[in-house]
Amino acid sequence: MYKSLYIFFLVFTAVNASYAQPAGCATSTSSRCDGWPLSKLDLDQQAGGSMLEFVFDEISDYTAGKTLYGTSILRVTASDTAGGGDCAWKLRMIVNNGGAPTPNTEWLQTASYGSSGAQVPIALLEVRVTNNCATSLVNGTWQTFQLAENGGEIVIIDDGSFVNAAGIGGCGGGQTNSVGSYLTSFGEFAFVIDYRVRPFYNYTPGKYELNIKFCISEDL
Amino acid sequence: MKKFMKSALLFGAVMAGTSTFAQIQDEENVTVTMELVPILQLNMNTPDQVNFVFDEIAEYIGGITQYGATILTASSTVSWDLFASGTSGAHAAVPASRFWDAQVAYGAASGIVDLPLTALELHQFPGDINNGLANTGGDYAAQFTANPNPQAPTLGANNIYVSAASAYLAPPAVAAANNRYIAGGAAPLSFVEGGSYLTQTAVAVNGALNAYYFVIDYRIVPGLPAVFPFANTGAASEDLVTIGAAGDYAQPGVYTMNVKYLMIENQ
Repeated sequence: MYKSLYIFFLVFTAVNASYAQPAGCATSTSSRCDGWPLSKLDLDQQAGGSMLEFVFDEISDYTAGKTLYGTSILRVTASDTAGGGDCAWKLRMIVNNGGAPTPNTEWLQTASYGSSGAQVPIALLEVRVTNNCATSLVNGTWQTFQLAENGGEIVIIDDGSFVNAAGIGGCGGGQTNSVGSYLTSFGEFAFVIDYRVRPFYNYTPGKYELNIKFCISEDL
Repeated sequence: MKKFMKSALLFGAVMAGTSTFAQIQDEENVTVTMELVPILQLNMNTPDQVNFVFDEIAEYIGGITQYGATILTASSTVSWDLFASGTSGAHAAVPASRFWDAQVAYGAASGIVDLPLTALELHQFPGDINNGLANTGGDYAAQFTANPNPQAPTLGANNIYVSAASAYLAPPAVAAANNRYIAGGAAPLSFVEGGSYLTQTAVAVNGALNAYYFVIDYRIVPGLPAVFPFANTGAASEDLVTIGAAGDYAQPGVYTMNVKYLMIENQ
């Protein structure tokens, strides 16, 4: 009998481990929605795949900055087969610079082309989230990560209550976070991400890198 | 029965584990890379040839000044220094030959053809551009001084820097005396911040932290006799009599020299 319980414990632990949540994204403990793949987050990237490259090799680039419009499109599918009507989700962006020894507030420097100037702060990266129904609180506004440091977030959707979708082609208002899909309500379940960097001058020349995680999890 | 119990527990464990985490939890990733290529741009929109023609006695005595003959505009993404380096073919070949290149001699070969490069004087505006550090005297901000009467060797403060090293590109080692910078200096703390004349909204004044637009005046005073009384290394006169002998004077003719404006990353 003890042996059986031991096996039970091992299997339970193994199954749980296989559902370990990605680092930096785990905040939810509820399970009112269906799991992947019934509920999921899809990311469509333009040319270049998941790598967005800002190359500054002209003075005018440094002066005016560069903007990559609509480079990432997030598509949300939220399902609740139990039909309890209590599935709600939240969506966040989390910045990651790889951690130490890179200072908390700076980009990871992968190559240095000189010695003068300051290291690039994470706050240099600006992001704009939009969708047709303006469901995000930060919709249409250029944002930096709060806090502008490793692990800092931009909250796209986090209402704390149920905000139902309007349905096909409609806009329900508020931070829609209910069951639904971009397939039937693109304006509420899809998010277009723009990226902007305006370095101006005085940063150390070189190559830098940041990782951005888009995390969807249950809201309640 | 035991086997049944085990199987039941196994099934239960799998289902319990699975159902516990049947929830929305997904993640997508984007990597953002940024490449900052260092850029140093120095532009000169004025003519690249400045001619001094001395064909009047008054021009020999008082010299010729060419105001605003060169205008320099700078843009940089890194901190930088700017200096002018006087050189010639002879100097480039042999650093100790600090002389103009004699192209044509007029009349009898009765004068000195080795004219000192430091006979060329510069005046800049704005001056003392050194990231707020006190002026060390190592630039060309001083006004041109008048030729004394009677004429005498004069240690001016505007003579162009002439490298004593093997390469004319060698920046002045110390921003002082005749090792002048136009902006920034030899020390790491002496520099101009990255920036551009394109975004400069007001004319920088003397002593401003940074400047990206410079107006350069030139002067040559041959003197009478033509011994170039202002030529000096900052510490010692290089007029023709001092480096030669009494009675020496410049051979009439055509001479050329080269002024290189060099913008370098501060280090």
